[in-house]
Amino acid sequence: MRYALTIALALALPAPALAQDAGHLSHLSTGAELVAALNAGDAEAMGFVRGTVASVYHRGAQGDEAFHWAQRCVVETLMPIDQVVPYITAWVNAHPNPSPVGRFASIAVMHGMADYCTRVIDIPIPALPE
Amino acid sequence: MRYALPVAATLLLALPAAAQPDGGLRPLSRSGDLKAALDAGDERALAYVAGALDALILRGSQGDPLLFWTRQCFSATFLPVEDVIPHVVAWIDANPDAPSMADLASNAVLMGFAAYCAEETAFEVRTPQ
Repeated sequence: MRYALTIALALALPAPALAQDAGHLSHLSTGAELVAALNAGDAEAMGFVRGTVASVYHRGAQGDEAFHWAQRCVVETLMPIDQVVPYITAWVNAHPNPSPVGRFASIAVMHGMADYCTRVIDIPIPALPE
Repeated sequence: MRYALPVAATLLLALPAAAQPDGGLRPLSRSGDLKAALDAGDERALAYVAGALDALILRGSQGDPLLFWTRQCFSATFLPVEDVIPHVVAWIDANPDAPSMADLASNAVLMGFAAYCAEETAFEVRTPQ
């Protein structure tokens, strides 16, 4: 069961756009697709990033120790998305060949958030889960 | 500090939509804002839900024991976002007076996600509080 899930996930993540609504970002989207949409000025891409940030913040608020920093950073900075985007783009550009799980667009957002937070406030961030 | 953060979050949740520079949903947006945007057919709201789901599936994949079901459900259904939306809206409608943290739009997505998976799969669904 454990391996079946891993295989299913690995197959699903590189799924081509045909698995998604035409051209729309979904939870199957990769970091590269997200950055392409952000570079194109796609308003949906900003919405996607906001939703991802919201979930990461929310898990931190619920007690997920891996994301406690995110809760504090969102509350202190309000996390202006336009200021986080350059860090997301930088992370994706620095990781052109991610692992299957690393293809998740949310991984790129999570790392972009962490880089933004360490830059703008004095907050220690533990090694992010992979 | 421990108490300052929840107080700050509560104050931020009370900010009017006008305080948001571009009208888009923010990490601290309330569930009512999400429902209004979905009802208006705002595609950014759909993308917001997709992004929130993405992060939850990611945490399940990373080993968050409370969210393991998200990965199972995703693998079994591929999770069509448009099929999750009615469950998100239903949760918001059923919880008009949710307290501040539960009233976050991201919580509505989590609860709608759980309701969808409970209905579509046989997996045990647990939702963190």
